[in-house]
Amino acid sequence: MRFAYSLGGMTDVKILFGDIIAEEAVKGTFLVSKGGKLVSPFEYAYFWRLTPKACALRREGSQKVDILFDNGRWFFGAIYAHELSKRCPNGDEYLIAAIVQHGTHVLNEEGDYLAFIPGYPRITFHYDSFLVAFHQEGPTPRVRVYDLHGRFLSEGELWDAITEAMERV
Amino acid sequence: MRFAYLSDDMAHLVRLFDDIYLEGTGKGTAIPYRGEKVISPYEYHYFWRLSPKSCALKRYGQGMVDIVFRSGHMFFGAYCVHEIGGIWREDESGYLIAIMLRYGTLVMDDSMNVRCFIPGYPRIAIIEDMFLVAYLHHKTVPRVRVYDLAGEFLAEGELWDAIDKARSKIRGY
Repeated sequence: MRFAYSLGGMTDVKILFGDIIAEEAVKGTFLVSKGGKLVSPFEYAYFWRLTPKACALRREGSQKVDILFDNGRWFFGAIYAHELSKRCPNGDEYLIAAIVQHGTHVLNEEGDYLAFIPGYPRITFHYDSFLVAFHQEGPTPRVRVYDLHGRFLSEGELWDAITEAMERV
Repeated sequence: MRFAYLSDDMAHLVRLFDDIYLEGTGKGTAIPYRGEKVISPYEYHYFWRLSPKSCALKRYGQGMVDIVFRSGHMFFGAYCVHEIGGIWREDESGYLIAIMLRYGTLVMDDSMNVRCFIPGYPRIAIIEDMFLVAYLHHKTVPRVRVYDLAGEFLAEGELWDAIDKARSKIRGY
């Protein structure tokens, strides 16, 4: 299930990962539990699948989103979350962006921090090796290039900056 | 295949869609064909899959990207292109792609229908299978412009406020 609102008036159970479930509460919100034990203090209005190993859950009555990973870890209190991109050097592996105050955390599917990028730019992968953050303005795309640990490598026009980053690496 | 360099030691074929394929030139580049007809005047260094119906082709020796669609049509001369995401509604499904041009980003579905032009190069996302959301400013919290999937502007403001406003507009209250 990619995107699900809760259905008011009935009890509904969605399996998020393994024994982690979202169980519908009486008022149409979801509570998340693992093996019968609540694992989040919040109630959720809806949730959606970010990647095969991560879900985003929108808190009821709050403009916050929490991220749940299939290993049971959480990232609490994002403003929004989205899949960043898929990298495929050794099979499918996804990165996730958690939008917070002042910028964007880049996380892997285990819930580990990889990088923090100021602001809310479009962030992509290039060559499955670089994080590329696009400046918003200008007649042509300018970017800042980081490695996957968040280390800044280069800045400039898109392809020039990528070439420079490749040379540095 | 999502992302592929073209090897320079063989003249191989890579099928993109049905009768559309890339034929290696033997020097690390490839030329796209439909059947036996060349469909682009350029040579390409590598390609990647944008969506089930479109591929991006990076021109050799140039900072330009072209798109080939399953229909055989080409879009020439973008700085870069990327997938925005899929839509899975009952009344509409498919993929949207973003094409970076001078001064902004053209949003198109992968059947080549233009949805809208968004100034600059913001992050563009599909939210709730209903809205196109362009992130505007690098401030302390994300501000966005919200469009419907036909490219009609609906609202602007802080992320969730703007989405709520857009939702109200669609529902007509």
